[in-house]
Amino acid sequence: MNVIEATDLTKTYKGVPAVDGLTVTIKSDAITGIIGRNGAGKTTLLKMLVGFIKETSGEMNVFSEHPFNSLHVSANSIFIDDHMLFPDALTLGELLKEGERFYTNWDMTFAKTLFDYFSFHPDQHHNQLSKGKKTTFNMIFGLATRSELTIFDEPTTGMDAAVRNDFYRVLLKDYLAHPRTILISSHHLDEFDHLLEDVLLMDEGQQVLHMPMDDLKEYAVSLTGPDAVVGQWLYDKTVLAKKQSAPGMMQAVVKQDFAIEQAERLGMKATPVAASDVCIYLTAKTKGGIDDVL
Amino acid sequence: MSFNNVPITQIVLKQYRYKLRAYYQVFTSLVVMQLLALLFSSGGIMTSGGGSYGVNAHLNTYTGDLIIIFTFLWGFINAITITTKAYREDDFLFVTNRQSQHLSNMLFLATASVIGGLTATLAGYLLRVIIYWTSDEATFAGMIDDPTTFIDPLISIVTVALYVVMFCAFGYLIGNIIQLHRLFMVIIPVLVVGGLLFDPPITLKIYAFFVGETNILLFLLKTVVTTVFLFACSFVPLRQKEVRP
Repeated sequence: MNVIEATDLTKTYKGVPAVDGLTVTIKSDAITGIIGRNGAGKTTLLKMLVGFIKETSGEMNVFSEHPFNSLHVSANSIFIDDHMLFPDALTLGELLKEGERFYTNWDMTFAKTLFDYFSFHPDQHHNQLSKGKKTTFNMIFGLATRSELTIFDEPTTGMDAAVRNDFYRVLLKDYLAHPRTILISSHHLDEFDHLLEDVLLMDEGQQVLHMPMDDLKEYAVSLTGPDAVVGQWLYDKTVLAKKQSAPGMMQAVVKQDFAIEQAERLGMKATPVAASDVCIYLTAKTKGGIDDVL
Repeated sequence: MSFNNVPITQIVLKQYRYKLRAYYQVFTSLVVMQLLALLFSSGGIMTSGGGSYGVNAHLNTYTGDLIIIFTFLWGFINAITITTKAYREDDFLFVTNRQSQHLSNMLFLATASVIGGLTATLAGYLLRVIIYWTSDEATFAGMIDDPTTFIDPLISIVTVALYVVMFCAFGYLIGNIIQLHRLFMVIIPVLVVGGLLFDPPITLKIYAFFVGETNILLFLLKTVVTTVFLFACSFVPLRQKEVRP
């Protein structure tokens, strides 16, 4: 079953499109990574999904309902990021109690365990926490809601390496115990690619690809060989990147839609390309880099 | 998938209870406002005097009106405050939509108004007690409007509460309009001041419409209808307002 269905979804800010004609469906009970560079439209898409903001055009359904102003979507989804502002009047302990009252699936034992593990104090206030502690608290809050649609927007911003690893472990364990639809947005895929079932790669408000993680790992291959051999091989292939690795030698990253043995027989060395690198190549600006601007 | 199916009434009540806890500053500011009003009132609001033939008369008048006016102001300001971005967006941490948000805000304001009416009335009596004990017995002229029955303070509480909730509804509508566009922060005061200059003055007419009403039932009807109307209008401005755009 699809939790999210969007058709030709567009959101513009003062005429500038943030999400631009996106058509996507996201299936239930899976962890999907929303990957893209800064300004790719990830956050805009996620905020539309939980009904914070309204699309400019196109159609969108979450749990078969239009999310903007939907109580049903609000009751069954949670959006977690590092800009969440909790009311100053309540302590962390009281915030957890409020969460329990609002979200019927709330798991207080789970929340309390993590709360103690990350050494929070119930009398602390959210605005007094450090940046990393805030995101950690937000993460606990988000997971404890056990919302059918749980969305993390750049969840690990400000977390230290140890907490970050803990977060991914907690997320995975909790997901396995209570499968639900989880979306995680990030601009770097490598640190949590082991969690993901699906990847939605976005660039400039549009979908670049949407496929299972396992397929993405085999999406591209890197070929190294003499200039002439590689150059000729590439002419009917989809080239993601190429560079001169040594004088007379060329290295090219190509979409893997052929048998590798063929290439190896011609004397090229084939090496796999990590999924995170595929994402970088696919969203790289084709004309030059920062060096060409300065 | 296991969905939470929540009727809007249940969410409104949850939000209402959350607001009673989270917006406690509203009640601390009530205490501060009324204490200030008490302080200002205890000096006497009107002093008149005169003398002839070697006799000097001097009359100090004390009234609890200021406490009530301050309570109106409190209701008005608080209603505007809870429409601001921080308050609106707090609701979206939990389960909400725009209707349930408005409804719970209105319930909260109505509750605050009853508390405001109650404390304003009681503070009025406190003022009498203070004046009684602090003034010189020999020159104490006496109380006017002394409550004789139990029903008098009750009517006072209801009347003040109704006025406060009407001011809240007015403030809430204005707050919502201002959130729609900053420009209204200028336009609305201009309209209000313009209303004062208008001939015949609209504000005076409004004043007469409510304050001049001597029939308690008619007064009840006028205030309740006005409040409901103002609250109903408050649903309109922010229908399409986005959260954390």
